[in-house]
Amino acid sequence: MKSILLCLCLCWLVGHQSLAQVEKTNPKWAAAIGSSLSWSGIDLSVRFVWCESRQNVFYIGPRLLLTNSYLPLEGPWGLVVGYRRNVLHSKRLTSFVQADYKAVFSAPYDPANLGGDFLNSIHEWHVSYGLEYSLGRHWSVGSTFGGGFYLERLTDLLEQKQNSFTGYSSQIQLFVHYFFGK
Amino acid sequence: MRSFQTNIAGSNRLFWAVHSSLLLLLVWGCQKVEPELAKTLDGTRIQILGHAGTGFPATSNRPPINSRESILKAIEGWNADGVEMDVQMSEDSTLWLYHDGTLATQTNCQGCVYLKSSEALKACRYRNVNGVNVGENERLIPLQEIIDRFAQRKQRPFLYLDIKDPFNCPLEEAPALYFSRMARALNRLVLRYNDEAKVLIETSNSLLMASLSKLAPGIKIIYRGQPGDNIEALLANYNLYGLGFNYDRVSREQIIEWHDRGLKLVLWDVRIRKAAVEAAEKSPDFIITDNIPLLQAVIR
Repeated sequence: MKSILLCLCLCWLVGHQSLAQVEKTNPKWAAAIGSSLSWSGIDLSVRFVWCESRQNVFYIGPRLLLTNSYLPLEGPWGLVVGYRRNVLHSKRLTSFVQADYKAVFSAPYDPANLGGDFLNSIHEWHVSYGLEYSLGRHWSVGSTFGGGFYLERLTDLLEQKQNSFTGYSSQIQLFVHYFFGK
Repeated sequence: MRSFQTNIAGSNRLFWAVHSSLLLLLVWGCQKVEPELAKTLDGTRIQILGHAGTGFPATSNRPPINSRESILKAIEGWNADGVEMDVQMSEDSTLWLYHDGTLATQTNCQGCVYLKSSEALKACRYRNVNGVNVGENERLIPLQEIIDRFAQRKQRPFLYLDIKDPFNCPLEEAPALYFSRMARALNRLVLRYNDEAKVLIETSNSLLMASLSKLAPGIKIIYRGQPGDNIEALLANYNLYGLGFNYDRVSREQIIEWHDRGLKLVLWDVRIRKAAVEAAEKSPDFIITDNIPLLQAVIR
């Protein structure tokens, strides 16, 4: 419940603070809401998007993991950082390649109160290909698909150490962009 | 000015779109167990056991079942209280971890485990089926490898051994002899683990239960229950430690009744949140799950 409420607040902040900035500066910003399915599960992310040029787009934002493999549940929190290179444009359609890094963090299960300062984490790196369809001046929708790697750092509380698990990961992503400005 | 108003209107639309989606998610998730119910009938914590390691494969769970990575991750990564493993015996009386009736369904080998030597089984590698084991090259492992590793831990995890009956290839000896050999092999490894209380043996095979009861009366046998089983007769004939059921085939009242008779209860087939909640609310002693973090979150 707390995680979802926090996510609501962040969404509100992203929308309104970005808008306030755009009114003062050159409008190259967008807010995006995206959902992706990858090794760590299904997530919801809110991103600040900076369009450096027509080709180069950077984004960063918090993400909330909605699943633990099967069904939605609360948390854990993480972040997503990415770079997107637009390749081809038509009037409404843009194709692009994208490289991103995602992470989530959570406290290890510790019913015996063994303690320790460890956090479990899942890190993912993906390269994706995507398409974005413009719905007008402000809105666009898009999707990507790609592949990459994951690294899980999980805590063995009894032995007070972290173990790594690695492997391949694939990613499917859907997003909605809202571009600020004229 | 007009542009500014357009932006404000757009921003409001964004605001409501986000909030509606998230409220929908809020309603969708978040089912939890009442803290008083998420305990055993003795008031202790329900023990979480990973099904064949971290569970059967899913989007975020791709090590092969019963593989070394899957089992180690359950204990050394997810901090499960124990792990369920499927056990079969080779022709030279070594116990191996493998689920299916024939090797061909999951590995690059052919035939049945109990007709193979340990040397032959060492060469078996899990295949890449439906994205499982991609790039991991996991191999079949003997139970002893896991026992030796976990015996070194400060606190030994529960080892829940699901004994598979030989049924897919013709057995080359009398069943009684086969299960007598298996009982001796199990007893050797239980002693090697050096913590008899932490090894549970699940079976519904009367020959194996009889052999184990005779050979090692202290060994902890969990009877794999089915609806309609005559539990009274079983209790009269074998030294049972507990009963195991699919979580939706047994009621809380039955669990209370059996608990009052001194039996431990194990529930399994817990994959999704609804199942995790239902199973935990029945207050068993152990839950075997395919989703360890989910069950931990539910009873946390």
